[in-house]
Amino acid sequence: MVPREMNIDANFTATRGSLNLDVRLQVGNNETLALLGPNGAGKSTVLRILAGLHDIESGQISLDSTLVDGPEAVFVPPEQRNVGMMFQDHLLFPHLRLIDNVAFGLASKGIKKKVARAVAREWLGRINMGDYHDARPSEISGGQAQRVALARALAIKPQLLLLDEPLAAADATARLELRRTIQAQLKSFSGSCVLVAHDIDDALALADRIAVLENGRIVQTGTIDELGARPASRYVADLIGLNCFRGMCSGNALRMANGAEVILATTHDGPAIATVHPRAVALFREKPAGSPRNVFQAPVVAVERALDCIRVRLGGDLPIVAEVTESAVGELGLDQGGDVWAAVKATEFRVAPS
Amino acid sequence: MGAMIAWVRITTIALSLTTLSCSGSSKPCVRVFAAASLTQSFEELAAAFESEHPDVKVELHCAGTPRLVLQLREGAEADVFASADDRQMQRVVDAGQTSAPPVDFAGNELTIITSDRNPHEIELLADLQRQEVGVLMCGPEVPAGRYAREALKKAGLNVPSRSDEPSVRAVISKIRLGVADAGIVYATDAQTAVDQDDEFGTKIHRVAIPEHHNIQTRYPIAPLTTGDHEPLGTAFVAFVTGTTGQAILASHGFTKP
Amino acid sequence: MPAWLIVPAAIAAALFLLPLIGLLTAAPWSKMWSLVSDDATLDALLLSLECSLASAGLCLLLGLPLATWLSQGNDALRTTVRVFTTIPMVLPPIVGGLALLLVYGKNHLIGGSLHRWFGIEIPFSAAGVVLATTYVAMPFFVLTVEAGLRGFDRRYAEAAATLGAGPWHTFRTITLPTIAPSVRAGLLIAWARAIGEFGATITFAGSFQGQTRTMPLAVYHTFESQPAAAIALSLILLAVSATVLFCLRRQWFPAK
Repeated sequence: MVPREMNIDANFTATRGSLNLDVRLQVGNNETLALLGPNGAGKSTVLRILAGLHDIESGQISLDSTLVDGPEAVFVPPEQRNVGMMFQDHLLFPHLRLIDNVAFGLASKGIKKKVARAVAREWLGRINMGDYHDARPSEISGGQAQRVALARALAIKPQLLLLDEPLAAADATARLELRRTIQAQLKSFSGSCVLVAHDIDDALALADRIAVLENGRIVQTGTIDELGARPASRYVADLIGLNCFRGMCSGNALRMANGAEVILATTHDGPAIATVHPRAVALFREKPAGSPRNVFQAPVVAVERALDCIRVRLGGDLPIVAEVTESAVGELGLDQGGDVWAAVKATEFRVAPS
Repeated sequence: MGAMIAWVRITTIALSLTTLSCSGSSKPCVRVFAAASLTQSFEELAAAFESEHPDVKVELHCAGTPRLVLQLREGAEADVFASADDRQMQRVVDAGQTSAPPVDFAGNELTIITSDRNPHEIELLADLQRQEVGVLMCGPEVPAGRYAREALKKAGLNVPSRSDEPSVRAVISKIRLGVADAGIVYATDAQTAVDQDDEFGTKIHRVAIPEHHNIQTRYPIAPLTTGDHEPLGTAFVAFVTGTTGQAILASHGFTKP
Repeated sequence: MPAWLIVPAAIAAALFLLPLIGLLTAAPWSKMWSLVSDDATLDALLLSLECSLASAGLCLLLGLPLATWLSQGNDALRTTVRVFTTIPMVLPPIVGGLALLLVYGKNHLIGGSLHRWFGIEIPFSAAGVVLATTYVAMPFFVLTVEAGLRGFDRRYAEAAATLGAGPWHTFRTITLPTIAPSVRAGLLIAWARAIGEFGATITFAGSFQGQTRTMPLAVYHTFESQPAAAIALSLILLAVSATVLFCLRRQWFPAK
């Protein structure tokens, strides 16, 4: 449930280039919201709007009960909002040493250089970059620079922290360490945080709630479970890793545009989305007999080895992904291609009107 | 092929620039170097000479006298030299570039000029000494400037020029623009400026300098050995000192030599 | 670079080198010292250095804000202003000097008021020299700095704003240090242009020893009567300028 004391309350429309945004979101104190969505959906733009780097066309934004962007002339510039932002390309000032980079925010607020530097040194220590305080941004790696950028944003004690794809610029090994650092800092951060993530794992690791932005609109907000239970769009379903079928329902049959049908456990009427987890799809060499209402033959299109399971992609009229074990691949000869039988129980499908 | 033709054209043009004979004319032509203050009068003289000698062309180059002397020294090919003072003419004579002794053909004197409103009410040479009057003259290396300083010295006056202008024309223009209050220039140039009816700045007002303070300048002319057409040069000199030439010069305000 | 390009490049280099050699061989080396220590020469040299430095300073104070504003967009107003800023570069300097007279001369637009109310007369003064040289030199400064600013990643300024820095603080601590190489290069080009200016100076400020006769004007005057001395003076100006340009060789190009 949404906490009563709101820290960010935003409800606005805006334009950036050809993209029209119509966003409503709320983030509470001590809460982290992950903003997910396809490329070009407007995620970075939302962050920039919250930071004050972009103006809205209508609606209003309140940070900590203070109106910062609203109708007519109400607009608080970024330097007066208590917001800390971490950018995709870290954007550490190239001509300043790391310690001066981190101290920059405090120094620009009038805090004496000596004091600011001391605070900066402390922060660098917290993110394990204490030894590099004298280095320039060009002398450290991308992952290290991102950590310093995080420290720089946190050093000004912001009430709202904005992270724009913080893990995007880091390579595989640096990602893990960077994620751990961000996790640790977010734990001790008392304000709200909105972070733009590119995949579900980052969102899961760092955020309390997820908001999915598609084409400038928030299609769904909620915890990962809420999203998984009733994904509001194909993108959300794909994000969670579910099979998604969209079509017209009559009775307990969902008919797709290409004529294929799935049998559901409940009856509906009208357009609907049905999802089923890959784990619920069983594969057989021969046509199986049994209770499953959905049994069909399909060609094996691909076999993908993920971290802890094998995902088998089937083609044909009803494209579907099944999750199987390594041994099953061998037993069924899935690597050889060819056709295979799939069976899905009607009860495994979750349906929602679309 | 097109590139070849272009290349030949460029070379031809370059070559034609190096041969300094009278440009582009098939007629024999006489090249005349004349002091800047002779510009208008010599243009008329040249036209008159051409109408008397239809098979000859006159090429006139007018510039500050010192510059012309320098060009002659550096190898310019001219047939006649008309100088604004004898000091400069002497240099040419000393370099052995004249084919006959120089002859004085005209005279000039100095005058004061102001803007037509003459706000400082300048009437005498001595008025130029007043603090609030900004006076302009040519630089001392230009004959007009040298004469102006001589005249002031003769009158016992100490009048510094706000600026050493490069030419009489520059002095006149600045007076007309109102950036200076008075100038000392040749009477002939002042006359031309007074008669000029363009819309540049104000009109010119002349204040005469009395004879006992004024400098009578003399213009010597001589035919040169440096050009291609010596006899034409001599003919031109004769024309200038002859009746027609003298009449033209008088009409421009020059005095008899 | 393709090998044969060295031929036109060498011809270009010769274009610059040969006149210099011509000057060096024609110089009256025996009279050089007496010329250098001559009062008139020293006056002119000092005046040239003072006025060109003042000019460079004015370019910085006035040109930097202009360049900053120009770099922020491409609208019609900015384009128009940019065209006007470039005009002194294509105008013959004498015409520039004339235009300045028509504005700051005693009986004109601004000069008239200045003279009536404060008794100030800009033509025929060292201030006039500075004004004339600034007029011809500032376009070079503005164009160089504007280019540098356009290459400046504006996101750094945004980052600074999110950290709490106001616009002036950001300009001072982030933008300026980053574009400093462009500013230095622009100042150098403007200074070089200012110290060599002749036409606008002689037309607007006139030529009076000690007050408005800069080195280029001194060369012109000497040239009329003593060409050899003029060559010597030219070489002195050349030597001084070349020394300065050499000492500041690292500032020529806005390198990182």
